[in-house]
Amino acid sequence: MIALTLRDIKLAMRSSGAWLHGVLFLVVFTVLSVIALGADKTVLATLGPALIWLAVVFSLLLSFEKGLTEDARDGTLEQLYLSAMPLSALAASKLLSQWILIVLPLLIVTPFIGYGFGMELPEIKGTLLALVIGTPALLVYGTFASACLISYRSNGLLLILLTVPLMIPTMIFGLDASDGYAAGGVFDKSFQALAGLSLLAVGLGIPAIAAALKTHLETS
Amino acid sequence: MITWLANPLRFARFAKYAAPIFAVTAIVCIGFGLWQGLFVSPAEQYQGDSVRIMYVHVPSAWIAMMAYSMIAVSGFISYVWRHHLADYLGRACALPGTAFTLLALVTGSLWGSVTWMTYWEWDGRMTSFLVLLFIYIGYMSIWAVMEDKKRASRIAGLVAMVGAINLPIIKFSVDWWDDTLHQKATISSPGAPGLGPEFLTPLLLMTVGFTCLFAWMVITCVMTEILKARKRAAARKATDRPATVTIETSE
Repeated sequence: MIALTLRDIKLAMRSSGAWLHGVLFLVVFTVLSVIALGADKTVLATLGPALIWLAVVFSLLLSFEKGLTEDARDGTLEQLYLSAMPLSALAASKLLSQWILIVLPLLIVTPFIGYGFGMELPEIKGTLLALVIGTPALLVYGTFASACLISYRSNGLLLILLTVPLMIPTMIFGLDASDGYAAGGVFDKSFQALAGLSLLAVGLGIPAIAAALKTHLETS
Repeated sequence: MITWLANPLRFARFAKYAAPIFAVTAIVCIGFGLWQGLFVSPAEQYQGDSVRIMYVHVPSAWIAMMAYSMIAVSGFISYVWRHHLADYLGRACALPGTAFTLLALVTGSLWGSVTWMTYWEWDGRMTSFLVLLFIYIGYMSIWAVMEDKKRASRIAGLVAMVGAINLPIIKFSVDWWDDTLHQKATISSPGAPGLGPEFLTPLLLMTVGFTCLFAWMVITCVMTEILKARKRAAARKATDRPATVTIETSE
């Protein structure tokens, strides 16, 4: 399982920077929103957590399609399935590698963007921590949707349509946690709700992703 | 009851009687309910005549949620037991469910325009109903885009189940995000004020009517699917001859 994760990471490193597209999108989104809202830092600082969450969600929505689809097209998925590896382990390792490759770079950039918006340090910390806790849930939903649509070629828009409703609670609690950090720290009730949501998503998501992959492999 | 109906032949026999019964009940109840709601029941003290929108709005919202529960349950049955009838049922519920969701949103918006002085407010219930609409559209588009129907049925079942687990979470989170404007459950919550009988009669009539209308549509739709499947099977039988095996016995 770890080997599979490492393989994904190695492959991504050789892909001449395709894994950085998400970060690039994040930065472009930020610049555009600053231009659209006017460069007033008092406005930007209050909207900061929401803008960062939006940027991360959109960036993730655009990245989901890659991970599983490539493996399905070049036959890796079938080989792994034939090698008697449980599909849930495959799903878990895929989630781990996706988190490291797609989410982690975004998280590294967010503090700088937060600074750019003129947010205070506790606000930046809160947003970052909320993202660390909330992104696994977002990732699970997106991976589930892309596993469902794996056999359908041009699945970008449908993937977004399927993913967005599931992401709404995470976003609501995530934003609440981003604001709640200043008041209650990491043990604020909003963080507990977010963590619960995330754990629930991961726990239910891994078997769901495995089931979707199995459907793809058995009916193709 | 469900296992009894799981056989397509028995379902067809049931549908033969049930569909007209539901149709007649729907027409009678909706007609009588409309008459009650529009002419007999009084205007409400504060809302005036706009209260009459409730007789369409509330039943549609109930049916929209019921339809999704049916989709989720039939998705589960189809995923676990791979039963065709469950697929037909889930698919049949989707379009009427979407229509009722839309109806609930539109009537709610019209009612809001008179009472809240705004067509749309980002209030918890309205938002979660909009999300329900998105989930319906997602479910239907899976059926629409996947050519392999066996795969589509399993994926649609999965999506329906995941959606069903998430719907309450979405609802609570959105309610919690903003719980100001929309009226809380009036009829079912304990200790709620409840509705006077003059309002309750048309509401219940319309609810029964809408439920029968929904059942009628669903049964007709499932029957169409069964007949289509039979036709396909017949066409297949006509084209490829069964292989004949002769066993020679030597004594």
